[in-house]
Amino acid sequence: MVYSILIKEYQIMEFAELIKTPRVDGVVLHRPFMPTVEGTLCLTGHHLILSSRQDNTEELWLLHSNIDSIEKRFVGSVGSIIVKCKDLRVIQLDIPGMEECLNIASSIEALSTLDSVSLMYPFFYRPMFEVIEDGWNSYLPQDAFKELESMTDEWRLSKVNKDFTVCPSYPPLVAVPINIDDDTLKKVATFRHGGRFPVLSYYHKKNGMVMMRAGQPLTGTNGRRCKEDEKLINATLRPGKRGYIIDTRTINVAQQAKARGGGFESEGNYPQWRRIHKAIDRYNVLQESLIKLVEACNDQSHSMDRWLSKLEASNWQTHIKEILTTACLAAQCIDREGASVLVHGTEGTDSTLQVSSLAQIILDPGCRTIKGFQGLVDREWLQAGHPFQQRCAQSAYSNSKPRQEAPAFLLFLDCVWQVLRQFPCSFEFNESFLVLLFEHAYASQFGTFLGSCAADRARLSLPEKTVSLWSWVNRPQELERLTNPLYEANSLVIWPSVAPQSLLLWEGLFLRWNRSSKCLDEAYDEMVHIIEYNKELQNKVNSLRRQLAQLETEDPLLNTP
Amino acid sequence: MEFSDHIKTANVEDVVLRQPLHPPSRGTLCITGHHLLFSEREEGSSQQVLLLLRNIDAVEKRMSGSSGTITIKCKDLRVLQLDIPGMEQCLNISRSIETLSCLDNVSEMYPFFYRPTDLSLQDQWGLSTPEKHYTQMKELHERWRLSSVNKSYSVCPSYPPAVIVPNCIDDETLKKVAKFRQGGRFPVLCYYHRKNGMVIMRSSQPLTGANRKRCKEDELLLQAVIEDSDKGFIIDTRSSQQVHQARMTGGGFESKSFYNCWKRLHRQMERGKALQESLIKLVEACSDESHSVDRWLSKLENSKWLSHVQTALSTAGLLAECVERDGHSALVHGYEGTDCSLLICTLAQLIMDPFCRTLEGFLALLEREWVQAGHPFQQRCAHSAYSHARFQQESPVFLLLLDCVWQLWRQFPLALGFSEALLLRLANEVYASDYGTFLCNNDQERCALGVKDRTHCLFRALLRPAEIDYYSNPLYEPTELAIWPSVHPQSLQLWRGFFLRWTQLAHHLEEVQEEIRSMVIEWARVAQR
Repeated sequence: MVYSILIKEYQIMEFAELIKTPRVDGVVLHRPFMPTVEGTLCLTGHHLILSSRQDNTEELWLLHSNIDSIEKRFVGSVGSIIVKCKDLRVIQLDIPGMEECLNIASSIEALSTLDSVSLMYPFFYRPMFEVIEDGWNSYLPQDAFKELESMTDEWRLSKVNKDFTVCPSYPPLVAVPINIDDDTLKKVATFRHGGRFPVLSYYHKKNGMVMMRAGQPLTGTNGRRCKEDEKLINATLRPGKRGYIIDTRTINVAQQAKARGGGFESEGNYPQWRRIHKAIDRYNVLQESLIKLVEACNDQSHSMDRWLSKLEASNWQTHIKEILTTACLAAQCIDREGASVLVHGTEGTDSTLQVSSLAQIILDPGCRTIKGFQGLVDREWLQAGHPFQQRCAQSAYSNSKPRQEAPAFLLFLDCVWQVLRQFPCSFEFNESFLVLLFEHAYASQFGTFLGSCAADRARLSLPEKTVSLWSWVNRPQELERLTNPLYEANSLVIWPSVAPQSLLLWEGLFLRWNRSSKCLDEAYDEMVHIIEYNKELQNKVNSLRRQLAQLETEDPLLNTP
Repeated sequence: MEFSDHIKTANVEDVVLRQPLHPPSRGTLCITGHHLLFSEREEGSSQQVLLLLRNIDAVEKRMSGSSGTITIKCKDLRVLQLDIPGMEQCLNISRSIETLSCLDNVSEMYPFFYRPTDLSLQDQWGLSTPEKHYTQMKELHERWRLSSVNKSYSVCPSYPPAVIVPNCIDDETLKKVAKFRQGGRFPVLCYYHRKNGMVIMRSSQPLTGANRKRCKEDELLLQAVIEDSDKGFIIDTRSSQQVHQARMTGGGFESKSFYNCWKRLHRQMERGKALQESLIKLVEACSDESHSVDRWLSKLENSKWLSHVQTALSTAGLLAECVERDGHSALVHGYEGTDCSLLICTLAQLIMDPFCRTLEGFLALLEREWVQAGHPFQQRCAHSAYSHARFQQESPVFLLLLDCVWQLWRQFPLALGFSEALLLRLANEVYASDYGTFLCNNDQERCALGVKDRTHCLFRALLRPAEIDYYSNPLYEPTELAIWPSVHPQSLQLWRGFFLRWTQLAHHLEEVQEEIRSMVIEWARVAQR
């Protein structure tokens, strides 16, 4: 079955041309914390495969799209290729024969950086599992809206963007205030960066307050205003109440944005709103921070000072803290101040989504379940138009100059991990689920993270031509692996500590390949075992109690003293 | 001197107590000879806080109008605040606390007054004795003997009355060797590795001095340790520069020419003041409220605490490697042989010996290697990180040990039979305790004061059935293998459970551990039925 796919791939000319040496014998594979394996290396259109000649020994199946960069080295006639992956793993292949080595290296380089989305592996991958529930239909906006309708009648689902013309990065259906018509929305869209007019992101059931998100207003240097925009966001306010606008940029950055046509909501035109500026970095700054952090984690020197200096210099923890702090602020405005909130930065596709999705983790217990979290990622990242294809094109080992790359989604996952660590019983999923999402965002056999917005996904016919990650995850055997054994549904708002002392390096991700996880895995399994055994015993106790009760009623003698 | 002379105001009503993780509460404050007692006086509540005065590291007072505020900083790193009405009362209270919290006279300390109903002074004090330990270690008897040369503490004041030495070395020789070693701490056996018969010895530095004095008996003793094997390792916890300097003050090292079968390895470990300052800086960093990540990481780095943890673990790893992997015996010493030497000998035993990793084995190890071996607890733990007093002999060596053990526990969650709760409890007890275990500086002092007859033993108390449940590791699965800790800087972490224990964060994690523990205890009960 596997081989039929390979043959199909191989027949595609684009791939065949790129593979000069499809197969080399006597290749030695070195991996961290695993014995070396000798075997045959095969290159296919999408995979690098190493199979040892002994049966049942481990093989390496690596997606080319997972490869971030390679380095080659020669010692005599044996060449070594060091493969650095987007999931932060580093492996080494020793290949006999200079020419073979060079051929393999150039093939990997070419195949790992294919630009055409439609040649990506998800279009060739056929599931070898039974799809119980098609993940492409699991989190449709109309279903989410039905839930909202049961709580409030102040919102409607607008189809104004059904052909992606009003806002190219929005989905066809968005929730907006009920008394704002589509024409008004069209006008507002021209006043917001990328057409991203304010839409509903979260409804807080407890007090009816809402969180909206948008792109920056295009006020420009002349202080342009848009009555419709003011009307739209004011429509979400209760009479006599004020709202908060959380701008993820510093006031300076927001001021500078005016010169390029952007801007912010001035007090004069939005008197009912209080603006708060925070400082969440984006783009290059984040990408460089990730590169520095991973470099520090791989540092082999034994100096504690050097490690702590490098960790500090990477600034990664500072980014985590800024994002979490801003998310807590948004959550506080909603839950404690009882005010509605609008979040935006520049485009509204990066830091805005980090804040709006984390605030929901804090506020909404539903988002802390496995399905709820999938829904959150689907709604607030995929449908909301985070440009995954650009942001996740390269990871921490890339040598090429970063363009649109930024680990915004990874930072979000890291923040969730920090909250999960602080509230170990409040999440239905475990750390593995977060690591899995990180891996699939960068390289995957599934179509979920392909493209950059709903329009891309429609154009590429992803739901028809590829399998959804959720289809695979939502099967009993996978769910079991991703379930947190300590989970006890907690209906409360959870306020994470953002003190620097409380924030930790996410070892499970950043040091995953630098340490042997054997002992920690064993401990985790043991804990799972304890909890399961406990449940079993509890069931036994309950059934014995029932039997006893039954016997007592059946046998009147037992009741007489 | 009576305690009551120090207590001008014993009771104050209407005091407000603020403590971490609790809302402020109002109630009555009492000061007794050894305790500070706060009883809440609010309706429907009967919360009490009982604090050993010995636990108080520093007191600060602030007056405003007719009332005052006393901030109490404890050796367990907790910070409490008391709002006391009445200036005079406030001053009296703070003066009493200041005096009573640092009484010098050991026999007036609380362990001599503590009389719990479920323990009897007739019970055996301590888990074992050097004699019993030797009797149990049958495999030692062929080549090693128990010497009572120190039975009156005259040969080495800081050693116990009985020590294990090579069979062929008589007591006269030992007396001569003792004169050649600082404080009389001649080389004694501390660990026998069953797998290959190799041993760890510990001592203090040889007193070679500037003239390169030698001592034939010392050389003979060490030769007897390695017997026919080709070599042994001396792990000196000082740098080679330090050992050369030590000669100027009468100390020194084993020179190659006189000890040609021994290879010297130097690993510089900080002790004394440097370690104490490191702790102060770390605790200061942990309570920093500036909210800047950079600042926190700089301060953490600056404190050097994690570097000390790393050095201790890697030196212990080196020692274990000599014994377990290379199959050679080793001698460990630094200067006095009462701090770093004990630290790394203890860690090496945890790495190699599965029995030391059980709850009982670990406590027995601490008793042997710290209490009996003469770590000067009273001097080292007189004050902790908050004290304003000028430091003399204070140094958190034992706390550093507990931190290193915690790192082991974190890297090998199944391998240790005890829980983090035990390490936290020990970290408290060593600074302020109801029990006599950590009183005094050595066995001699303990005997002189009758500690073993007039106080209760902490280790025995910890092994009572009710306590065992609490201090056992629910995930424990014994392994015969050595556990080699990773000492990469990335693998070592701040012991948040201790250093940040009074913040909300540690609290949640404690709840989880509590949850798992109670499950395991519950099964045991079900299984018995």
